[in-house]
Amino acid sequence: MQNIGVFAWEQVARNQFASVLRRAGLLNFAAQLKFVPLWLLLCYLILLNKPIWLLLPACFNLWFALGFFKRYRLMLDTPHSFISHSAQGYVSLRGRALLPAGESVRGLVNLPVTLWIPGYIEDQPFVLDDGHGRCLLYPRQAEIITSPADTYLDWLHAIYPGQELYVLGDMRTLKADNHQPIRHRMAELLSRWKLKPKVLLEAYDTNGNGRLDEEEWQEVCKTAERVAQEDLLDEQPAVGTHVIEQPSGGRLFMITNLPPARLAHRYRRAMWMHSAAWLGLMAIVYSASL
Amino acid sequence: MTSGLLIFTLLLVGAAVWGIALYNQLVLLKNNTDKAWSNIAVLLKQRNEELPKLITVCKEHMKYEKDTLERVIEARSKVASAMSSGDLNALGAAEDQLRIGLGNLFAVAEAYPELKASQGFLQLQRRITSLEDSIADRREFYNDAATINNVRIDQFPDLLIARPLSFKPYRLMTFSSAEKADVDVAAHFQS
Repeated sequence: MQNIGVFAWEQVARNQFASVLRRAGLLNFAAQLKFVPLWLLLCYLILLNKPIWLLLPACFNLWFALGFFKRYRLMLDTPHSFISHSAQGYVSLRGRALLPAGESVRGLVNLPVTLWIPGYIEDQPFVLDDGHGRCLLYPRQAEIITSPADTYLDWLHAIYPGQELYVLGDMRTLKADNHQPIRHRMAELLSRWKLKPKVLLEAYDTNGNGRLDEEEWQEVCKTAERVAQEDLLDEQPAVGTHVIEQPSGGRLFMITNLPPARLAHRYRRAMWMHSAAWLGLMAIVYSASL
Repeated sequence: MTSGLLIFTLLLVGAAVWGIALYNQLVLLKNNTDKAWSNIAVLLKQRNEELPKLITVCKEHMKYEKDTLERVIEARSKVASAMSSGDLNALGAAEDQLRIGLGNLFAVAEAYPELKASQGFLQLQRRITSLEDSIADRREFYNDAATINNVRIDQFPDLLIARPLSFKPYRLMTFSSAEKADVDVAAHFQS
């Protein structure tokens, strides 16, 4: 657990805006309604000076609108999966955030336990439990959109244990290699057993001559083959560790503690708003030039 | 005049970029559906590799159940050929046949205490049953991905890109009528 002094509280608060902006991206800031007055003010100032320069914010509006369109469609078009299905590839998941097994405390001293807090604990993996299974989330390269929890720290953007999360990302299941040929397994077993000749003689020296004859040795080999076969069958159904990571090909890796319906609505609204702003600004520039 | 040209260019760029974004999204949906299918295919392959082992174990004990075993073997080869040809209708039918065959096999196995006690048989039964469950789960995921893709390529404005560029709908993996039918509880209690 990281310790912060009393005065560092101001620093945590100051860091919040920059860190949240860095992890969620400018795009997610532009999706919020509080962005509108700032943008209008900027456009008004440009209009007063050089209206032609309004084409620059118009380009930004187009970029924002495309970004929101991409996110909105991804949320709608990515099939929902359960962790236990272990469907490999790009999936959307919903579940509760938890600390990994063996870890009971994480976060900053004097704060409730937090799994992820921008500016301080950003890269450590945590667990997602969807009621059907568990997977490890590696948030290092994720776009993380948080809203403050309903606590006395209503300014703090963080992910707490037990919070419902929505995740878009690449799911992989790591499995131990269970395709080792049976002959290799047998050879390993036999070389291990040879280290204990007394035990081998006790078990397989049926004629009691103090050594393993050809037939007795064949019996040892048969047992080794059976044990190797059983080991292989035991390993096959073992459930691997599920991991959610940054997808390849530049696809979006998103983690949010906002309800997905609310976030999708926000993206949709922002997409229309910025598309309208793009066209509106171009209309203003055109009329100003006449 | 200059600003008019700039605006016209920006409008063209905007329209082109929207078109590219739509195209990329359709490609992503296609890849998602292909990936969802490969998720099922890998399990079908694993199960098909386990079945001969099961048949071998059963053959040792079930001398008088040749028909049951042959039906499973036949269904297995039908699944394999349907998978290689990519014919989802044939695959659905073969899967139903295999599921019924396996159900019969496990039911008949109850009458062979030696087989039921065999560790190898029990492990294979567990493994195949678990693979069957996973196939059912992933079939649901595949159907979701395929439905999303099929709806998008028929929707406006996506169809303006999907039709000329020949984006194809995917067939769903349908459930057999036996699986969809209501469970006849009374029948289970008849002697």
